[in-house]
Amino acid sequence: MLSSLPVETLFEILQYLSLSTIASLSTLSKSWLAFMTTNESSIYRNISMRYGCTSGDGEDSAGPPGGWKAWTIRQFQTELRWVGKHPGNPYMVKLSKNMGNFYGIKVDEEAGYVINTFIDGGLVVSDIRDHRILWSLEKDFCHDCVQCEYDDGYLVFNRYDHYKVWRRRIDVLDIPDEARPSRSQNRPDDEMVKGNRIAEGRYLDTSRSRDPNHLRGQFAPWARLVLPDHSRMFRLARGTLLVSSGSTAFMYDIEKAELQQTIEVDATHVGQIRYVDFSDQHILIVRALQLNVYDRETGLPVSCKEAALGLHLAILTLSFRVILVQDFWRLLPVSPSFSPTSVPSTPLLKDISKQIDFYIEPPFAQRDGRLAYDRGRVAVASTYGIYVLTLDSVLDQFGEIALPPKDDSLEMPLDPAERDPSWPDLRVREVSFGNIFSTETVPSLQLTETRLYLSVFPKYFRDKRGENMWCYDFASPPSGSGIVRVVEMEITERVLTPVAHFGFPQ
Amino acid sequence: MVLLVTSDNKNFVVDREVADRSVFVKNTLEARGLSIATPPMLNGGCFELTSPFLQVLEYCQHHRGEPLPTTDDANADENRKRTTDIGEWDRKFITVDHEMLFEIILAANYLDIKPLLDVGCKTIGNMVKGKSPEEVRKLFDIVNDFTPEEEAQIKKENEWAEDP
Repeated sequence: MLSSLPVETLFEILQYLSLSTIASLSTLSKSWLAFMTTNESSIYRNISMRYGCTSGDGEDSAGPPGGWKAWTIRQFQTELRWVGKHPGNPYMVKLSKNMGNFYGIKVDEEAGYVINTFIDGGLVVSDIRDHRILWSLEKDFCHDCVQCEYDDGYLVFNRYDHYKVWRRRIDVLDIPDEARPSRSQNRPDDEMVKGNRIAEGRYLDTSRSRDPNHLRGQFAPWARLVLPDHSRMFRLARGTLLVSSGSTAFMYDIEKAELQQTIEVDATHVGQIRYVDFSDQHILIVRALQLNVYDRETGLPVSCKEAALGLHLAILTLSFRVILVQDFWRLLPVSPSFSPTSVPSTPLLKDISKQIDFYIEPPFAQRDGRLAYDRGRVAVASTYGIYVLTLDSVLDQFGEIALPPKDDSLEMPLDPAERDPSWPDLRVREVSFGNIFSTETVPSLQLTETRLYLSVFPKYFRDKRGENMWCYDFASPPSGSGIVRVVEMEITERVLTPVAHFGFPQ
Repeated sequence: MVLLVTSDNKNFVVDREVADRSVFVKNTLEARGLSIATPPMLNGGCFELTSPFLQVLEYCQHHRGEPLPTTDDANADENRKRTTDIGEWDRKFITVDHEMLFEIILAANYLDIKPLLDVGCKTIGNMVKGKSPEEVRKLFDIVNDFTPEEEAQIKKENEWAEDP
């Protein structure tokens, strides 16, 4: 009966089945096994599309290395680890040469390297897998406790109000001098040139100066930006560097190294600036007690609903309250500024159904924490633990890939009130590094497609330099010895509570 | 009105609007230059259909006048696939024995009635969802023709997909 249907109709039916069920069809009978084997590539390619895999591979393409089935299995297992069903691989990162205690972290998973700054100064680019040092800058050229930003081959860190812009060496090979930032106020300074000379002497083999494998992870000086005011926080994304002082936000075109736009931000607002970010239309300035949004076109504080789609906001307040706001830019309140730290029960925005709001620690706690938000996941580091929230999991309640993931950018009803409550498929897990993690300060927390990185202030590791950065690899099973703990959590009554514990002995 | 003749020589006179639910019939009529203005009794062609045709006709009668899905609208297509929910009327309509269900799906496929095909496929999807291989075999009379060794082997290869 079932086998009397044409193949394309069977494919239609498979669209409505979960991955586990589809996989189990090959165990039904020999003819089903034959059907599944013959059509393996198409079937698993269709499933991978539900993951939103649109890597530009055509129908006829062989797909990712190892084929679509292997790719799907890998994605499925990685997702199980992200949401806390399976253990991933936690490990301490030890560079091939000890460079001291880590501070800032940036990761380019695609290019396969990790960029670190250090508590005592210096900058190192290392291989993501074997931790071999690919390139570095001496302490004299990248100072102590420096945060860096990295995006699309550009690396930026600052020394007071001077922003040093480095660029992937492979990307600048064929750029003629006249196309580089060359005016005296924006070309690389002597310090960068000198740092580069030393790094070249150490890492650049001139006989392989055009070999991409050899140049991987190497950077070259690109530009220097001198901020006309005392800077507080900066953010690099989509070719633009945003730096904010207490009273002005400066937007630079990073390739041209030129100031594009300045926006006056109200200096009378209270609190130190702790974070800045931007979209194509807005600038977000987060102060200790306040959050302000400015329109990039008018330069004015935003005072009404805007129509930018698909941008959510994740906030970690000083009282360890996590607030996730769906379609934030569309839901801005009438008041141009508002305070996420006001009375805890007050909704941040006027529409509370679009918001997930919970405490990680008792509200009276006043410690330092970190939040990272990337590719639909939010990571929070606190003294109570490290948690990962997958906002829109493709796994259903049985841990199977269910329906296609909802696409934020399409088909959104114009009135936010028509939308479903925020993130019905939210999943939370704790990320455990065994018993070694207990700290008060996390200088850096990073999420990549398959990993979580964090550095901690080495209060308890003072005698073990260079042992303060960890990685949790969600794409691999545990490799170490001992028992790996996995805790699945849920949000009940605005606090995180464990729902399932697993211990996985090695 | 158009006249539709099934392969067992039964004649059905239906409104053009009803017949047009089938993209196949619609295209056939259009290709022959027959429009709604043509004389009422009209031989639209002969289709390989017997018993499910009455069912299909009932479906087309019920959904007449609804906008036809356009093939190039990728978003609508995505939207449709997004949910396994089936409308109230359609659910009652499709509550038939297995044999008829497959006949309807085949007919919908042949006559190119996408919404009906979706209802049929979703129904089968809902039947299979969450079932063990043994239950699926029972449901569709599938004979397990693996030797115990072969079955053990194939199960082992599928371990990755089992519930965590």
